[in-house]
Amino acid sequence: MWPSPAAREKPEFGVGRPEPRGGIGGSAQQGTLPREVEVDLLSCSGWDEVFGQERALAYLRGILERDEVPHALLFTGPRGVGKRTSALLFSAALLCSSGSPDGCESCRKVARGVHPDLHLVEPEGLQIRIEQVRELERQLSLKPQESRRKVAVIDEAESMNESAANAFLKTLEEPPRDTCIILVAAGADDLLPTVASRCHEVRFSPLGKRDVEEYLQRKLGMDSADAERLARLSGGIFGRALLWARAPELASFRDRGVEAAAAAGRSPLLALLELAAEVQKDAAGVELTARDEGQEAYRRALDRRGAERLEKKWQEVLKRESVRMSRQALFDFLDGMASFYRDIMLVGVAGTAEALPGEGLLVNLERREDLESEALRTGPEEASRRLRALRGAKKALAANVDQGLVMDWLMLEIKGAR
Amino acid sequence: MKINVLKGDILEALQKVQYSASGKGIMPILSGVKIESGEGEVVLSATDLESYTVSVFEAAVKEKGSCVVNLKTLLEYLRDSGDEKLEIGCEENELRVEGTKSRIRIYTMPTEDFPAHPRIEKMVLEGLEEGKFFDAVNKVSRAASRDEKRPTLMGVYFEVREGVIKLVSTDSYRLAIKEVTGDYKVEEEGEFIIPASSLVNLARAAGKGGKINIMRDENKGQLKFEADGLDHYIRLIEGKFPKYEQFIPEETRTNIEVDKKEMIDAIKRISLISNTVKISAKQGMLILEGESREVGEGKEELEVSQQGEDINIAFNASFLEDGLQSLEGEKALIGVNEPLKPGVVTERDGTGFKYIIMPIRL
Repeated sequence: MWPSPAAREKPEFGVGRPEPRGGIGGSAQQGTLPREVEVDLLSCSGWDEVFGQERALAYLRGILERDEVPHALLFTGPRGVGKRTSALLFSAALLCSSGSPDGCESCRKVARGVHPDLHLVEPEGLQIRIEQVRELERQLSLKPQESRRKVAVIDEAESMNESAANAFLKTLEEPPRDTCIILVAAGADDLLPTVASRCHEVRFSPLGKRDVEEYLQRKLGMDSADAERLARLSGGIFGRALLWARAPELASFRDRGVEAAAAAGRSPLLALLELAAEVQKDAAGVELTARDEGQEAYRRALDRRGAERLEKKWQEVLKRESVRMSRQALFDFLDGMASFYRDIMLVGVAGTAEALPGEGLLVNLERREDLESEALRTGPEEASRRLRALRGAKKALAANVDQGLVMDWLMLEIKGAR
Repeated sequence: MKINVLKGDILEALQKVQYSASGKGIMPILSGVKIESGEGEVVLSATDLESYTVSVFEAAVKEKGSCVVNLKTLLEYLRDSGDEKLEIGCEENELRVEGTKSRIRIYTMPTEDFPAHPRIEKMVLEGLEEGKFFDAVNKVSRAASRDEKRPTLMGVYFEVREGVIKLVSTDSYRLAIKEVTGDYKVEEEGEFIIPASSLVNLARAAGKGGKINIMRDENKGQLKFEADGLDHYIRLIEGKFPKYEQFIPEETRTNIEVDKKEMIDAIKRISLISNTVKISAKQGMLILEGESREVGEGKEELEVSQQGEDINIAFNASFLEDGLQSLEGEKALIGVNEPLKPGVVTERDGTGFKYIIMPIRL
């Protein structure tokens, strides 16, 4: 379980390259973790803090009003569409005496992550370990402190390892009274069936491109061209668009993926392998450093040992998050490549990019010419084969296969067909 | 905030609340003490989210306000400070403590992060003698479980009935019960599972001579122990306490009266060898034996007064010792039925304490 001041801290990171590339709106060198992106903007003062998930929210508000909150909920949907934010807002509503997030003292505590009756469990590293589940059980065995209820939010519940999930089953089967458990995961299939079947599933879907665009313009004050571009490239994954808006350095990995895909046909194998190694090195260089006033206040106010403990914990978190970010950067690279091949398939089917109805279909609009020439060279079947190879590479990365190995294999695979 | 206080007053209050603060927890704010100045009095609060202690003392308040600082730092500074009169002030993110000779500035933590004070009003019990209650706590809490997988057993079961209140705890190998009598007034009957560790901390912080009131909150989630100048809130454990009555034998066939100290010493010697002590009673002679393959064996003989049949039985040595240690008086009674049925340890001049212990199968 991550220490409470997490929500108030705004980790910043610098990528291991001197000049940030891209420069799409927002502040040039600031950014937040995918995880904190949403929380950062959260004050729990109204339901409208979650964007574009009307259906899920309507359901949640409904069960609150009817007082029929099931003891375990499972929020599913792609990463970065507002599941965690919704879970926190819903927790605020459950814990607040007014029954909705209204920005009162209790709600603000939820937003800052210091509410004593909100227990947030997140993966430490790549897994949620059994010790974290045990600690949660201990916390839940006590009656609520400030509120009428207790809420446990398990973020990235799919990262519970098997022993943790099995230990957690016991709590799910007989949760303590007045307890609501919210699991957040990409899909019900990613959990043990025994866990998923005990929860009430609430689905979150990717936002429409227009929703993301509107938000970026309205709330972050981006101009319409940049907002349109980010919304298009993010594929409706809100958290991703937001992250890229604030950290253009990360968006660059995706752009490099597109470039790599565009050049793959022409470049010799050796150049591709070198490129892969370079990307991997840069991704590994993604690093977080943190400075925050809230954190600073605690570090000063604690006695020496307490401060050391806090500092150590914070460094551990930074390290863990840096590893996650590096991984994400590689995924972004692969996604960039995949989007290019996807477009090639579209162009190949339609004949020319001009023949495609409307502009909404192509992702990489900026590269229309590249797409057309590559489409002639590559053809839809070959593009589809490369997409399969990319999917294989992502799967391998997700399973923690050595990154260098995966990237090399991928490049060999892409070149190998001819 | 600006206040003038006597060092002794604030130090005493700090010492009372210190057991509730937690330096190890995951929330750094919990290592703090909240200082609030109100009308002619200062309120100190500390919490580890399991217990919440509030202590009040009188002071000359010049300006009202509140802040949170690290409890340990303030406590250790005051303990060693030579000044009798202190001026305490808080500005922005600093707390100043100034005497004539020494002064200190401590950085504060965000006050708004400090957990809110529970609201508890429903009276359960009025005018309970501190001495009697905490004595019972100390006796009973030893038998509570330390196994985090069974949270309900980590608590002391507090049963309030008209005319008698009971404290019970068990780790499923032994069970301790103490009835507390006195001229307290029961306002409402009920039962609560109180975390044993918090209750023991309270026993340490509380006085011995006064009386306490016990109150509960609306949904029976917390209890408030109200003593003179000290309010202690404890969060209760969820769940059902086992039906303990079924483990208490109604009568015992063999009853042995022993000298408590002799018996304890004998068990201590046996437990050097083995943690299982075999006991055989034979016509007024009690033989304690322990053996282990690694260490060796030991044998003790005690002259006792025995009623009933001869018997062979074995117990966990430290559990048996715990039970005897909790007894008052010089003589102890040990009652047993059969080698596999629980034994009972009581005081000869019963004061409402019973210690039930499961035997070990040989």
